Amino acid sequence: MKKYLLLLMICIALSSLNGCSLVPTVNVNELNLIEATGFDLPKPNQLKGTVVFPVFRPSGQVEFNVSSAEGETIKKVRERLDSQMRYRLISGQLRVVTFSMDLAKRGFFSIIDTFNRDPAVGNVIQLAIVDGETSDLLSLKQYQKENIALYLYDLLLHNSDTGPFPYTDFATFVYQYFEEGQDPYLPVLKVVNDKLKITGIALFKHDKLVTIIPWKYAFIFKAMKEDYKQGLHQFKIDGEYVAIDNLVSKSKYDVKIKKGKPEFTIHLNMNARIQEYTGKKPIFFPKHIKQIKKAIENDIEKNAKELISLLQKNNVDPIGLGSKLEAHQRDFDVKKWNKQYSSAKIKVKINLDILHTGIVE
Amino acid sequence: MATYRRQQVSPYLLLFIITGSQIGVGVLGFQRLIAQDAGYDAWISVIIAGFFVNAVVWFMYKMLTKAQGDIIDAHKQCFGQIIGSVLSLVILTYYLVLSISVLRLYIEIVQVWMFPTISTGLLAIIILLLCYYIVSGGFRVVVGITFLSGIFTALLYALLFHLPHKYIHMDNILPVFDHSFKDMLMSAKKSIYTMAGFEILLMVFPFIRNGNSSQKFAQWGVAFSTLVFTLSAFTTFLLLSENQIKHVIWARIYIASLIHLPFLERFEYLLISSFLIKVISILALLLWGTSRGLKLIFKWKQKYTLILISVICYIVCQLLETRYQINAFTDYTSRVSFYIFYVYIPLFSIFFMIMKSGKAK
Repeated sequence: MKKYLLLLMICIALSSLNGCSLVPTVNVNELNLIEATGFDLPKPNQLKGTVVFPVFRPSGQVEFNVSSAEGETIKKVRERLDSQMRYRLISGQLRVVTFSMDLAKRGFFSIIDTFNRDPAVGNVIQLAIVDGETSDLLSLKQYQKENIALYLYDLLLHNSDTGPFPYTDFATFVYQYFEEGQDPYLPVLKVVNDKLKITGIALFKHDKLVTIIPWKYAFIFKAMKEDYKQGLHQFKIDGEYVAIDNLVSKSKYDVKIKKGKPEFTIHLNMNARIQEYTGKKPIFFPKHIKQIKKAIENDIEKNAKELISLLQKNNVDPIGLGSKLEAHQRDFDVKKWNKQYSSAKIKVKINLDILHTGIVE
Repeated sequence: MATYRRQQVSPYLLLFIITGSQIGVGVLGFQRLIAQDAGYDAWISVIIAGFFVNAVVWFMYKMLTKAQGDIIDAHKQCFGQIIGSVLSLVILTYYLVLSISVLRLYIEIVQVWMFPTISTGLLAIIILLLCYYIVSGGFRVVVGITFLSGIFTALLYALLFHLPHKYIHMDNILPVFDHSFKDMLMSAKKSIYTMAGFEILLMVFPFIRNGNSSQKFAQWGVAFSTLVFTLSAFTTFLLLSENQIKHVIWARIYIASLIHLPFLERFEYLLISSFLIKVISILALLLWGTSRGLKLIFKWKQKYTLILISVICYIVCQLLETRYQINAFTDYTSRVSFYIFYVYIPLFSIFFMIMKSGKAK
C-alpha cells in the first residue's frame, strides 16, 4: 500500500510539474529579457519608457534592441511595448533603471515602488539620473555593439567600488527613501561628445530631485558617507598638483546636544599614499611630506565645508546626519530636526596619514 | 508508557523536535509584526517571549511527568472521560488549525515569490500526500524527517550571519531601550505565533525514552529557537529602515534577495525551495499529533483519522484565498495559541498538580 502511494505521489508530482504545464515553462531564447530601462517625461502625466534587450540570432550574434512607448503608468508602457514585440518582455534580468531629470524633479517613487513590489525583479539594479533624455542615452550608436545595460551597470559599480562615488543601488535607494533623517542620492549620467559620463551626484528630498552637486565633491562626500577603500584624488598645492590614493578611510561621528541643538563633529581618518607629484620639491623628507599633508588636510577640510554648506542651503541630508542623531537621542523628533538641520553646527576634522610614496621615493 | 517502547526515540531528539517545530515559515516574516509596537527594540521582546516559552515548557513537564502520558491522559485523569475528551479536542483542533496556517502560508510564499499562477490545491495535495506518507510510517519516521530538516535548515542559520555588509546600518537599533516595557510585552505577545510549535510536546512526551529526565533537551531546544529568532529579528533590523519594514511582508526573503553569490544571483529562490522540507517536517509532526489524539479519543484507526484531517487541511487551504484572509486566519491562530498555551496550560498544570497531591494523601 505504502509503496503504491509513493509511486502515485511521484507520478503526480512529475506530471503536474512538467507535463500538464500547470507550472508555466518557457524557453529562454523565446523571451525578451529587459536589461536596462529608462523613463522620460515628455508631457506632464505622460511617461515614456525605453527598454533595452538582447536578441539572440542563430548565428551566435547578439544584437541589442531599443524600443520606446508612452503611457500614463509604466504597466501601460509595458503593454504598448508588448504589442510591438515578437516575444514576451521579462524583467528578471533588469540591471539598470534610469530616469530623466524632468521626471526626477516631479518625483518617481511610484515607478520604484512597482519594481519593489514585483518579485521577478531582482535586487541587482543600479539607478541613475540622466541629464537629457534617457531614450537618447540608451540608444547611443557608439554602444550599439556593446551591451549598454551591462556597460552602464559596470560603469556605476566600479566607480563606487574603487572610485570616488559613494555606493548606491536600488535597495539602498529604497532604504534611504524610507529612513528618517537620511535623504537619497543617485549618480547623474550625461552624454558628453557622444560619450557616457558620470557628471555629478543628484540629491533628493524624498523622491524629488533637489539639486545636483558637482563631481569634485564626490571624494569628500564618499569619505564622510562610508568607509572608503580605494580612490584617487588630486589636490592643488601652491600651484603644484599632488595626487593621492586613498587606501583606507574611516569616518566617525560625534554628536553633542547643546541647549537643545545638535552639534556634529565628523572625524575623518585617512591613510593614503602619494601617487603623482608634479612639483620640483623632493618628497622623501618627513618635513616635506608633513607640508603636503597639512596642505591636503586643509584642502579637504575646505571642500568638506563647502559641501556641507551647500547641503544645508538646499536642506538635504544625504550624509544621514539625522539618523546619526536618532541613534544618539532618545526622544528624536523628525519635524524638529528638519527645522534644525539647515542651521546645525557641523565640524569636520581630518587626520591624514601619508603612509608611503609608492615603490620609489 | 511501556506500551510505546517500540516507537520510542532517544531524548536528545527532543532538541530537534522542539526547534524543528518552532522555527517555521513565521521566521521569514515576523519581524514586521513585532516591530509594530516596540520598534527596533523588538529583538529584546523576542528574548522575553523565549523565557515565557521556557516557563510554559516547565509547566508542561510538571504536568506530563505527573500524568505519565500525554495531554489526553492528563485531561482524562483530571476531568473524567467526557469533559476531558472535549478539552483534548480543543487542543487537537488547535494543532489542525496551526498545520493549516503553516501550509497555507508556505503556499502563499511560493505563489507570491515564485509561481504566481500555480494553484493552491495542487501544491497542497503534493505536500499533504508526502506528509501522509511520512506519518503513516510511524513516529520514528516523523522524527527522522524532523531531524533531517533541522540539519538542512543550516542554510537558514548561515543566512543569519552572511549579511550583505554594504547594507548594514548599525545606527538602526540604537538607542536600545527606547520603548516602554509595556510596548515590549506587546511585541512579545505578537511573536507568539512565530514561536508556536513547541506545543507538540504535549503529544510527543510518551514517545521519549526516559521522558521524565528529558526536560533539559526540551529547554535547550527552546533556547536555541529563541536564539535563532532573536538573531533573525536583530539582523533584519540592521538592514531595513523602520518605515521600510512596515511594507516588507517577508523581511527575511527580502534580505535573501540582497545576497548575490557569483554562481547564484537569486538566493531567495533557493531559500524558499529549501523551506519545503521545513514545512513538511512541521506538518508531519502536527498531523501525527492530531491524528494520534483523535485515535485515542474516538478509538478509530489512526490511518482514517489521518485521512480525515488531511482532507480538512486541503479544503480549508482552498478556502483561504486572499492575503487578507490568510492574515486574519493566522491572527486568530495566534490569539487562540496565546490563551491555550500561555493561560490555560499553566493554570491546568497547577490545578492538576494540586489535585494529584491531594489524591496521594
